[in-house]
Amino acid sequence: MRISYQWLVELLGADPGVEAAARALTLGGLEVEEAVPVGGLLRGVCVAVVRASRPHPSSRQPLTLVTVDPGDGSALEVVCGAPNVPPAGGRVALARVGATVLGRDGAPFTLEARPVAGVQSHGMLCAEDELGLGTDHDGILVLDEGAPGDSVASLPGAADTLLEVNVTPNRGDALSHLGVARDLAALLGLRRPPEDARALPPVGPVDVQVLDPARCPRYLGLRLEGATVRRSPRWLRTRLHRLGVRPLSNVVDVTNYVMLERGQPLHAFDLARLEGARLEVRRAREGEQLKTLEGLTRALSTEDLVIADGEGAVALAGVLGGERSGVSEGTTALLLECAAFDPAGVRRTARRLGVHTESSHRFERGTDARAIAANALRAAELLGALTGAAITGARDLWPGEAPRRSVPLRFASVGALLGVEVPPEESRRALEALGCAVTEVDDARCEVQVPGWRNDLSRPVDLIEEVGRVRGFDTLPGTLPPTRPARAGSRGDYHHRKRLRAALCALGLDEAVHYAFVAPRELLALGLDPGAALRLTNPLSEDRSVLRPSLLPRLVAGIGQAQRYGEDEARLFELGSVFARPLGDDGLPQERTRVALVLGGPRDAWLARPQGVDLYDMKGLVEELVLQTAGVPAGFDRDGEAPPWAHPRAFARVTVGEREAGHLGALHPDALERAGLRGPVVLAELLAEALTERGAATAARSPSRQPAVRRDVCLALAEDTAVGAVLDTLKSVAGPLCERVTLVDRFVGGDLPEGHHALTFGLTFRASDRSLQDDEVDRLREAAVREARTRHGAVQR
Amino acid sequence: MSDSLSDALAALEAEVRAACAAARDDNELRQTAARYLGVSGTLTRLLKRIPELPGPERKPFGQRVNAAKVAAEACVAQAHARLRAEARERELARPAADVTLPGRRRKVGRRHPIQRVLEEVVDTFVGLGFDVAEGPEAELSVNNFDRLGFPADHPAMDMHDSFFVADLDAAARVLLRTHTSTVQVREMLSHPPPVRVVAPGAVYRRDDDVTHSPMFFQLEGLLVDEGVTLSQLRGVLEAFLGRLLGEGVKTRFRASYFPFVEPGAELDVGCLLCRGEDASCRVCKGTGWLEILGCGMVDPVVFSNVGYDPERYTGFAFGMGIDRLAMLRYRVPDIRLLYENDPRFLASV
Ligand SMILES: [Zn+2]
Repeated sequence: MRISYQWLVELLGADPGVEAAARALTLGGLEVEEAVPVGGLLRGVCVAVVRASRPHPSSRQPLTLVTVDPGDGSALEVVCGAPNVPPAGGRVALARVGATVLGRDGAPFTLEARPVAGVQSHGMLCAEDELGLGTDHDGILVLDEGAPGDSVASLPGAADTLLEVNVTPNRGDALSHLGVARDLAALLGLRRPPEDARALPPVGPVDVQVLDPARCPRYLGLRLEGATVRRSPRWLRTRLHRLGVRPLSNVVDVTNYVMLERGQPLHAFDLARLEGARLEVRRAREGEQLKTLEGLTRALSTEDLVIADGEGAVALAGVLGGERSGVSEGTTALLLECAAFDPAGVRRTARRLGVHTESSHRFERGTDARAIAANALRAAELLGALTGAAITGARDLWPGEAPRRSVPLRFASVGALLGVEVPPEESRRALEALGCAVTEVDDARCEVQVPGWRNDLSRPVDLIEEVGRVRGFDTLPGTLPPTRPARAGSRGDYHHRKRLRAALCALGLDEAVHYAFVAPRELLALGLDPGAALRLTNPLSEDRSVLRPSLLPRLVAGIGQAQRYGEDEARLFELGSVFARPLGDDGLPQERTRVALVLGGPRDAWLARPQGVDLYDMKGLVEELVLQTAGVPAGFDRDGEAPPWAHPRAFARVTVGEREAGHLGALHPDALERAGLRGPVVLAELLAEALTERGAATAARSPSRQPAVRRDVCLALAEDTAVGAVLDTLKSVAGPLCERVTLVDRFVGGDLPEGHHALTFGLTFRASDRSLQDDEVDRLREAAVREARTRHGAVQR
Repeated sequence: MSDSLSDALAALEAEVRAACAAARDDNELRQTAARYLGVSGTLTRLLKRIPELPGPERKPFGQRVNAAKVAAEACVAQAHARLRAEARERELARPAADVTLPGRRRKVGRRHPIQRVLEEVVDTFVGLGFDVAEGPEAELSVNNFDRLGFPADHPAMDMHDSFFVADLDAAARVLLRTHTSTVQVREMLSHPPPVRVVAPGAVYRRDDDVTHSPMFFQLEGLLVDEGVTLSQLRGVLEAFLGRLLGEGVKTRFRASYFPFVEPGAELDVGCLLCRGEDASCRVCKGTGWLEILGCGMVDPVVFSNVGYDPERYTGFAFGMGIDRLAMLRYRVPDIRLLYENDPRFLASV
């Protein structure tokens, strides 16, 4: 909500200073986001009187040479291209050489003395828009105010500070200057603007009916006759313009002005264009349509509340006016609507139609039904002054007129919630400053009657907040609550994921965080079925329309993006939720946390020939990750089906304990191609909960101090023999003295038979209590080699 | 023993000394040593002749040759030490290593900037005695709105434009939670008071621009007990900010509005960049304050909705946008960068 500081000053009858006001409002809950002074440019522009004018002697354009007196009796001649130069005695705004005005593009520029079509011009007669006072550029500004020589900046409303106030949705009352002024008065201890208690004059009736009082608790129709529709005076246009409302005509401008002043949206109908000169407030009929002021024909629903005349809907109640009954130049008789509409109903209609107006914005947040008569009369007063119209009829329908809402309050509860001592007197004064009427029931309690403009105050706690606001939240000291021990085991999942993250980082992977919604084509690229995934009803775009069933599609797509920027090396992990059917008993999708790892591009190397990453890089990562986090070695097998994204020759199922944790594998060549990636890319995706610590706490081991004895064995093996099995055989036959068996080297080619490779295994032997003898170790080695031959057809080389 | 032999051995000793001194490298020294001390070296051969000598000559001869041998060995050892020292000298005198050649790095990965900030924030609250609670991201509308006291058809909903999950089987409306306040509800439904938890996690709103991402991270806090006050809310948040940003951080506590708290407030922090001294500061837009924490006292309606006695218990809740903190800390100009995961971006923060 944009607020004119000058207007606040007028309403308060006091000027606390912009900074103090902005600070108080901000601390009090009406945050001032910005305070922008306006009209500062006008200082070099003054009111001048036209002495004479004559056509330009030589220009073919319709230029006028105007002689003006800038208030000091001198005569300056300026060249003017506007068609509306007033006759002698008329007042205009003169920018002299050196003054700054706004150009057509809105950018300020400084005037220089220069000849226009051969005649020297000593300044410029300004249009509204050139002074930032309005939007009009049809002619120069002709003033009916100010004395010659006065700075234009001193004209009412010309110099101001505009406050951009962030009004929270509970504070409909602050969507007006009066509402902000009231709050400011309470917050700064100033006198509150007096309440307007005008009552309707005794005039004849107006034919209006409310058929849905639940949706329209109060409807006041005022008939005004004798209006002349024309342009509003300069001060009104300036004020509206500054506050972001386009000046249209005096009638419409007055309705907008009163709305900005008091928060009450008003609508003026052209009475002559209302069929039967009557109105009713009712639900729209099946199939009813309305051509609105913006020229669109809207199809209405029976949920919509409309204002209708004898022919049909003429306005969407509280939202938009209709074109047919709008005020135009020839209008003389008006029917002014000043009403209260059910906030939720207005909101539903506005949302269904996708419109948001100044009016619907205010009605959605609640208006002051009690103030309707006074507000209508305020508008009538201004309409009388500006259009000459007078009230000739009125009808105020308010069947549910109720006493002000009363809320009980225990004085002690105020301090108890705020955490400071608050004397009853302070609470009473604060609430009264906000317009409440406080009646003490006894020493401990009171009844608080809430003013009509504060629809948000209905419970004791609401009142406590008000007392706190007036006292100032910022005056509250910070204190600490008594400590309590944390609940046992309450940080499990979070801490587990934190450890996972730490382990993954230690393994050299960077963390990625992606949106949980992905593109169907990204699923397709990995061979996943987008139809099986959960869709959003209202995605921002097709590319973010599906809840991810896996972390991999987006990570893989991300590799593609990075490759387009020349980044081939990918070392990433992501930890996040994935979603799947079926919905559970609680109505929610299956939501699990998974961890995904991707490797792409060349393996780290320095001054060595780069080699692409492969399955075993990923296996190594997963082995270490599982050991670090679950505390037990991971298992790898090829049981079950390959995931759709995996290379059928290069994947493994990963198990932790007895449980399947997920898969790892090279990206399927089809997927690589569909995603437009340069390979190789290897992936893994595991269930985070499978990696929770499960190994029993292992006991520390005292290392043997005996020397180790190493024996290498080179075996020729068929390539389809599982090396893991050979390792197991060697280890088991070599017995407990064999500390470990490692794969040292792999050789292909040479004199090896087709489909064979030669593998060198290193066997490390050590006893815990003695030095081993060479022959003892050699015997174990030979036994192991023999068994490898028997079981795996291994030939020693 | 004849003098001539004695002279000959003395000469031999001198010869060994000279040869050792002349050796220019290990190889020459090895050859020298072999020549005199090897299997068929001069001294070795002399020793082998001892048994051929007549009895009385054997001892003095043996002693003399052995002495020559010991002297020769000492010479070789000395020469060896000299050569080693010379080699060391040469090695040390070689041109220095090129330290501008790249090191062979073992890269440690980095957590995402959002997670780094999130973990720091959570751990700070854990230090203040809070438990960590979590809930699903796909959530029932009733937990996201109704139980938190969001009025139906109220403009407060405008700040929570939700993504809904399409599924014909769903009896209840499922959406992507718009705030982690859903965890408040779950926590209170599943645990009796007192409650003291923080709930971190991803949340979703239908916004997409420089400062709004359709997915972002929040941390919600909830403390419910008997006698909890607004003052304590400020105290706890100031303790948190002091730990996160350093002691002496300035705060401003002001009234605000969130549907599930009453009173509602915001706690602003003095601008970390300009300390309120730069009217053109881009971070605080010249206000001197950063708005990072929404908070308030739990609305009694929420307590009623979860079966807590609003007459007996009070509590406070607070929430903060982790992305915003991350953007402040790492000076990220556009929130969407956080979710693009461009390796060049990730490497820069
Ligand atoms: Zn700043």
